[in-house]
Amino acid sequence: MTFNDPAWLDQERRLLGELRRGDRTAFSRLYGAFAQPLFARVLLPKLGDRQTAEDVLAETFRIMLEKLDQYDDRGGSIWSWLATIAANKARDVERERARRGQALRGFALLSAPLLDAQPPGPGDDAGDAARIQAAVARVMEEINPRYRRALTLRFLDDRPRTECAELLEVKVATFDVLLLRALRAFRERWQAVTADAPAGAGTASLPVSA
Amino acid sequence: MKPEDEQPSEEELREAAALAAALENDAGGGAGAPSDALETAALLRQARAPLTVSPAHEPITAAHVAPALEGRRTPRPRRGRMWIALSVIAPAAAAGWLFFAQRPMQRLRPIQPRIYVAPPAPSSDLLAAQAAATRGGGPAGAALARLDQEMRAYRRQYHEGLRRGHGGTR
Repeated sequence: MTFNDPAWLDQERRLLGELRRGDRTAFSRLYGAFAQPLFARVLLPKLGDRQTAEDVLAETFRIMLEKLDQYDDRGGSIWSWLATIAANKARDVERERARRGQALRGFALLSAPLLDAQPPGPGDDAGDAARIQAAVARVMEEINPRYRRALTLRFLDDRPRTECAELLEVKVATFDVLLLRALRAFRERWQAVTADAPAGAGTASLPVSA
Repeated sequence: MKPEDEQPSEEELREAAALAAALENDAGGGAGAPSDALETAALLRQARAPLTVSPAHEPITAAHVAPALEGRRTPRPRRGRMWIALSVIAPAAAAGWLFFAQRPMQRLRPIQPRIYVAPPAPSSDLLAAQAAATRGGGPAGAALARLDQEMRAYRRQYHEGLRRGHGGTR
């Protein structure tokens, strides 16, 4: 079931009516439906950091409650409106990071080709996450084994770079160069693999502007 | 020579150092780190675990939104009610203002004594002229002209009496 299904839309309208009167149970059920897709489709890819994505998720729900009276459903789901709020907040965080010189980046450009063209469903976004993880595994298999080892040690095993350099028997500065090359090789291969993404996948369901 | 064994350029060394600094310290540093490598690193870091929001996050969000939720439970005055109240209060306030604002002005204004001036008794000439005009028989224009002349004299006499009654100010 997606957020566009009539059965869900009826339920959503009823829950929003209860939420307008401050009903906690209605809030909990709407959170259960929308938190995961907002996190996995919009916030984590844009921000690239779980803690920040969760903070922005909470803020997204607060803004939703604050502006709920201005929301006009026009017969559709609140999903698009929520995703736009989340994307706007994520953009604010990106601007703040840029202002502070923080190097954190999201991966929305890389994951976008794998996202389902259909809107997600209540509480469910396992499809997108599974596609991303499967694509990562496939690309890792296809790149140079030495690059694969460097990426695995540093990112999948989350080891410090000095330990990675030691395990690969190179100097730390050499490991830094190896890692940069490995990331670029991975990206190049990723773009080739995701270009062949299954039909129907794309960015259609993501808010493109705020 | 394999690509990974090629000698790095100065540019590549600089980028690798900036990337290493950025990955070591997400909160700051790493200025000039290549964006393409940072985005790819973010994808790999997040893909090692399911892309799911932590179950512990719901109570955090609930606490974050609690004031907004509470605000919705507190009934707020509706606009319709406000307009109805205003439509009653505003005219009452205006009437009250007029009442209290006019009273001091009335107190300041000099009070004019009401003087009754009795009209003068009609002269015998006026009564005769009236009778002649009413009776007819003679030339109508002459009778009416005489009546007009007598009426003017009577009005002058009446106005003179009014002036005297008001102390000659009018």
